[in-house]
Amino acid sequence: MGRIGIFVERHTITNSDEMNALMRFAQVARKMGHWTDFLFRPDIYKIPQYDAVFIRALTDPLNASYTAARMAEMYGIRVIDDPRSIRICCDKVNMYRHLMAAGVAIPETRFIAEPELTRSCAERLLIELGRPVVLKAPHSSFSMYVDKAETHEGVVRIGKRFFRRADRIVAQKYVKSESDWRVGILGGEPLYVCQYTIPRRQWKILTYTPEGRTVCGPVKGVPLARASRLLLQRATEAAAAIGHGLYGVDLKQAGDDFVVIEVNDNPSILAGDEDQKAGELYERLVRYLLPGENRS
Amino acid sequence: MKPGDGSFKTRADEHGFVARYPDGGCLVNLVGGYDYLELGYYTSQDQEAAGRLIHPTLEEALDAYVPPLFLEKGRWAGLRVPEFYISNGYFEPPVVIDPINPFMIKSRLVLKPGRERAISKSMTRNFTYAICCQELTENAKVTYFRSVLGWSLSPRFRALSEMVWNVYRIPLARVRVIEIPGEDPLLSDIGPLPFTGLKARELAYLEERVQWGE
Repeated sequence: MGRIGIFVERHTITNSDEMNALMRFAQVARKMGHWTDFLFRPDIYKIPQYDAVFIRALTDPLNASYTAARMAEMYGIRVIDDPRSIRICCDKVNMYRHLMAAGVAIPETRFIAEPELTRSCAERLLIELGRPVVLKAPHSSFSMYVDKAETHEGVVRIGKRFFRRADRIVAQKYVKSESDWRVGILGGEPLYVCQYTIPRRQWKILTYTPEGRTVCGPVKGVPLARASRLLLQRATEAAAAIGHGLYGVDLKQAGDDFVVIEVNDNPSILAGDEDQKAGELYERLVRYLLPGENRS
Repeated sequence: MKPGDGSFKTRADEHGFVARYPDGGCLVNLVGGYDYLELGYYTSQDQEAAGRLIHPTLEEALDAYVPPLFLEKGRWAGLRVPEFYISNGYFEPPVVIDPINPFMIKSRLVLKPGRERAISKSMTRNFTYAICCQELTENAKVTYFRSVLGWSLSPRFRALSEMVWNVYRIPLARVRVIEIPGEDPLLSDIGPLPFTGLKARELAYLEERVQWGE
């Protein structure tokens, strides 16, 4: 029997779809002969008692989730998400550097340091990357701190806003699409495929109203056997550029080809969304966390 | 250019605060502040991306600057650190509180009970983020020393400074310690010591050990 600690935050357990997914995970682990516990922030000191840790909370190197992940690593405990993946994926500059070094197909990308953000730099970006240009703060997540600019004034204005918490930002060529693909990868192998539809009159799969309401389109699960082989190949290559853990690779379709938009650590796993066409999703997560400890 | 002619300090900027450290066979990042996503952090990232060994690495920077990781790493290495716990807001004075969140770096020393709720509300940003609490004894005193590549201007902290460098690999640091009469100091936290704020003797010490450039 193995013991898995599931690190959660309050917001994890107040989201019913996320909680239902964790209940399914716990149920599958129990049937495979294992034990699961929820770990909250004050329980981080208990991590050495576990055989594996599954982080299901918003990751950021400055959040408690990174402390939990790194603590597990210090004690030689298998962990999803591993600290290295968190460090790379939570910083878009670092993430794109890894993708570029591995030759992964991504939109044309530039990194801008704060002193470089001038009118002439903005004009050059618009010439080199075309209009609009997409700007991303390194700590962007859930489509926040991602914006597009058509003019040099816009580039400078948005850039200044994004520099508030970081010394670098990312500028990218805009790739238009009507839907995005998300491929879950675990240990170098595809885990699930979903198609996220972009809401009407929006350009991102997730946007927010001025009142803070989330606007998103439907999520359609696609069985792995029916997914495009090229889509799976591109996603697998992108994940391999980061590490060997659990990732959600976002891709846009450009004709018959696919372009990697980003690789996320800690991809959302919601009951009825990511798991809808991925029958073995939870079993595979358990097997990954507890290799060599499985009865079934 | 001769040692001690003042050019060491003025040339830092043109080399991006990156220096060769021949004794360690590596580069050292001498920005002095290694906060996540800021200049010092990206200075190390630039070198790592180019395949060069530099200290601090990104992992070392976070291990040092995230308070519970700093304490746990010190404990692993056999250094004296205080008892600590991670909390959503609850704490018992006397205590040193450090925030674990992306928007706050200021710590707080709370010696007496009475204002726990107001303090935890402020330190957790309305109970959104976690805090790391280090237990103090009644007679404990919090103090700081400056560590420059494992050396300190203050003779009584030189041995500890060397240990901090060996374990954490943070070239320039302002180190917080907890002192209890009759005991060796406890390591409590590490923070920025900007190169631009170094004193003449610290610069002279560095100049003897590093050379600017990659």
